Amino acid sequence: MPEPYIKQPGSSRLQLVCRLFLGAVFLYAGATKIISPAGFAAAVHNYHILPPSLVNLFAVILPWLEITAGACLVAGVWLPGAVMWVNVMLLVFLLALVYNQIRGLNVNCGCFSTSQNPAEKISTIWYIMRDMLFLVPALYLATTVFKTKR
Amino acid sequence: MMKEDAESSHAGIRGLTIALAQASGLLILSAAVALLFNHVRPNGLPVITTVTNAPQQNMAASGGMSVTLQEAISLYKKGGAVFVDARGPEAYRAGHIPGAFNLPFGREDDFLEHFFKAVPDTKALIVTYCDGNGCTLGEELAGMLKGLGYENVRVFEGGWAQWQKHKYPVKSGEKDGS
Repeated sequence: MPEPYIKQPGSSRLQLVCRLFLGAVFLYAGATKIISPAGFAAAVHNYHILPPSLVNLFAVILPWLEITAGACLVAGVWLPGAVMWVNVMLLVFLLALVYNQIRGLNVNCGCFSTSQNPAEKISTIWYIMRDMLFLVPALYLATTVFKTKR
Repeated sequence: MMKEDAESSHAGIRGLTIALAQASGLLILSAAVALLFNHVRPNGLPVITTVTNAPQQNMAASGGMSVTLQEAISLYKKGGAVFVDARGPEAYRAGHIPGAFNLPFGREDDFLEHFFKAVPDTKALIVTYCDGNGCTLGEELAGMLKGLGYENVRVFEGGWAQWQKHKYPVKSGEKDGS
């Protein structure tokens, strides 16, 4: 009896928990950035990775990509695409953080807020750890989407 | 067995194709909503930034006026500007642009009263700076000073690092700019 090779993720309880958790994280992250576009653009600029001409475009689109991916995870629609974006975003953020940690740049992560008050400066190591923590459920969801062996 | 492997890798490719198609759709949807929303909202960002030699487009927060090293040194020589150091008192004591005030961003409350007394003219040209090296406190401070009523606030983005690198005059010690 043929079993579907592409299992729709989100069927088990663990998958549901991962989806809701990551979805909430991305919805929250996107919303805080949308509130203060100039602040987030400054944070992006501060990473010194993108050329200045692309900073604003990136800063405008990224929060909405976080919102749509997060919403898809929560609602359970277009999961393969949403899971793919969540993984890509987390990996890109991780690389950006690690890159600047190695360069020794004093980067304010701008992950969940755009405030750059030094009083709430937390080390980049913590941001890196947190990103990797989010990658665990994200990669798990990815394995359920791209499962090839039965 | 072999047939199964072939079928499963086939399914994997199909799954990947679906995911890529959906991912593209999500990107297009997000970009459309983002650009529309950015266009409509009052504090939207300029997205298409024509390549000029304006250093940064993201300085909307501070009013978009940045000062190059050359401009900073010429202002310093002419004495036409009030320099304000946004770094902490320790860094300031270790060395700063001669004549600069210290307004450590985030701890400025203790320093502002003195600054108001020393710079009562809200039309005075003020140049803020931080460490350089990616520190944005100069911009933050410039935004704050504008909010406090100073009209001519600019940011020397190269900051202390650039100033020092080019071996311009430095001063160390407790109080300055008084």
